[in-house]
Amino acid sequence: MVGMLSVERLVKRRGSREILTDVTFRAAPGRVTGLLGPNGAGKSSTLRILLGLDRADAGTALVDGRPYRRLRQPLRTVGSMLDGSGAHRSRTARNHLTWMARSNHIPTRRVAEVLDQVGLGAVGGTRVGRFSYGMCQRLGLAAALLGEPRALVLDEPVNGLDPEGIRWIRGLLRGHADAGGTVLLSSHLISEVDQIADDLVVIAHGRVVAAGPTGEVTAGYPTLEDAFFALTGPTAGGR
Amino acid sequence: MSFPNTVAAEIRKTATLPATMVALAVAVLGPVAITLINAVGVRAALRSGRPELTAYTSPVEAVFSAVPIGTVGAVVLGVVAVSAEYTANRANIGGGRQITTTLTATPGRLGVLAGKAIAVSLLVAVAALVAIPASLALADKIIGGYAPPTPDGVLSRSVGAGIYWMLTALTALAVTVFTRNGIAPIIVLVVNSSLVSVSVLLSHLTPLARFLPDLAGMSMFAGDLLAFDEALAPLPGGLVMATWTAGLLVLAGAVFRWRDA
Amino acid sequence: MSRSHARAAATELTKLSGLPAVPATAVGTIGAAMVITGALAAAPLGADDPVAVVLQAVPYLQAGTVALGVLVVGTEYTDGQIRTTLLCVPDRLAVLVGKGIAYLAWATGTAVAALVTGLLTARVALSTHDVPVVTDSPVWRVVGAAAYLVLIGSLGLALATLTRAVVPALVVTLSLILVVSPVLGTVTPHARYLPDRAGALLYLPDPAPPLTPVSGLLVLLGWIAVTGGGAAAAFRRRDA
Repeated sequence: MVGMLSVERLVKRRGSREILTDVTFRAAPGRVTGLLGPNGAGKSSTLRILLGLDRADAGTALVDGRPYRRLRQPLRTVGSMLDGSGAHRSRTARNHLTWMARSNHIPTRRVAEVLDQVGLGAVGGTRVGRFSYGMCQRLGLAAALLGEPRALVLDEPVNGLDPEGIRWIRGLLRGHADAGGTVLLSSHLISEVDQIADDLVVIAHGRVVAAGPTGEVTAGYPTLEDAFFALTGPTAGGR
Repeated sequence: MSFPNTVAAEIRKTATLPATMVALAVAVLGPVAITLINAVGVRAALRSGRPELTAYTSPVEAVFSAVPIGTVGAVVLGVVAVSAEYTANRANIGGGRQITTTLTATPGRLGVLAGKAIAVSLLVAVAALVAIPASLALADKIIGGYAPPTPDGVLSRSVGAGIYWMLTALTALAVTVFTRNGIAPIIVLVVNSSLVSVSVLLSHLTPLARFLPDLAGMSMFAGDLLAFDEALAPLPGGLVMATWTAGLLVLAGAVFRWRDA
Repeated sequence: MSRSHARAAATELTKLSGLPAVPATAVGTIGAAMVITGALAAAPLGADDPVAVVLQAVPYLQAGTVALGVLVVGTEYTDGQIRTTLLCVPDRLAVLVGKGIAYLAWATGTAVAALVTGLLTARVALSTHDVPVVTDSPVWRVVGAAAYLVLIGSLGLALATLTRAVVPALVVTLSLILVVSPVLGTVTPHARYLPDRAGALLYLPDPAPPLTPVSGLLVLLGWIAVTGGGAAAAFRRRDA
């Protein structure tokens, strides 16, 4: 299926420590999938492997059935955002997006379009080093949207955004999924995920402790927060 | 926070930077390694009875010609003590620089700078105290019996080399306060600690070049290695370099105080 | 060169022109060429041939191309931009090929501009003396100097790929070619196999037997192949 993200029995070790153990889940088109877990649970490591930045010690992570590193113009298939802007601080936002566009044969008019879309249209010529944290997040989002991809992979997208920005990104992601796109986002903010995710993958100590439609995962608990602590707490799931 | 606490904090902060460890390793192992190669080369030339193959035959010169690599270590120490404050850490690219923490912990700008200067001086002094005696002992052991009699003034030249490193590190620190970025000071100061230093070039143009900080300071240890006729005597040379360094530090203090963090 | 490599090169060129440090380094190198050749030409005991004057300036100018080489890769790591780069171009080898081509373009332009500026400056400075200006050094040495500057800077690129940081790569490369090499040159004949000394035969008039300009070039290329190969292998294997 176009835009399907699938992670299969992923294992990652750092030194002798196993930071991911048999992580398996899917993010389907038309749905917003929330990857939820406490700090250090393995959310970012999973996303980095899915995006071809780090290598897995075992298992596969596929985009449209192919590893990220095999994609010819990856930005047109998956848009992604990891922590921060991902730009050298001395370049302008516009130059950053322009070189990204050039690398994937994306028309340069998209640069101005995404800058306007994320609300940075007026500061495209400003050096990234002068940006606030929230502006860096917006630039990261602009980079994710640049190639008009079917799938979006976002690591902690609401960090540093103001209330208006949070509402805006919620609408953006909802619209993307409703239009048939795939959204995979990670967060440690329970209320945020609760409001937006159709499917949940709860991860703790490098293992998936629950996965499925939000209603199923939270069934039997008064709130998602209660479910989260029951699933990820020291007495549950992990070691 | 009292000044001794500031100094202690700066020593701890500077000494635990990974870059500082590398700089100290360069300042200590660099001269020792170069001395080793120098000394082996000199011994080979002396043994084969052709001392003209090398530029000098004394174990002492084998050591002092290796001093410039220690200078590189001193430059790096001075630069990173300041530039590390201005490096953004990855998660907080918007402005997560250590200088913010430093200046909220110790609002007195001059105290911070003085603390850094003392920390850097101490670290360089430690490096010099290890590197120079070790190099002298090594050269003597290798060349030993083949060597001409030891010239006078080894002790004062050794002290001079240590002071030269210290003043160079403080100059690097002051210059990095101006630039807030390590790249330019590293390029300029490493090029200038080499034999093709721009100051040596200027010395062919004007005798005033001997008052430039590096040429003046080199007279403290270089002896005949300084290919330059009008060099200052060691003591005035050291004083000239110290004056330059003090001037730059005062200027850096003024800039640091006046500028927003 | 495949299409993806061409695109990677175009990407890297866009990236470099957006980094103020890169044009600043190029301009700084050209400015340094002007000042240094001017000083050399004005020195009373200096050469009276513009080509010879410019060749004496090459050891200073190499700091410029080394800095360019280091910046091309090192700046990827200052603010974590390397992640964005690898998300755009997941093929590690294509990234390195693109960077290599972009470096060659900037370094060649900078080296040629600096040497030409140096030649003109030396000519003007010498003509203000009363000595007659001679031109008996072959011009191919200036071409050799340009090639040397470009090649020695690529060592900086390789070392920055290995160290993943600007300052360590700068310190190692510059101290090797500017501090360690001259010191060793005074004590051991084996120093002639160091990258800068072997490569210097491309522009220096006096040969250092048994090396010739051609074998000197091969020695320098050997150094570049070894460090570059190691850097490429590390870059492909490592997590971003």
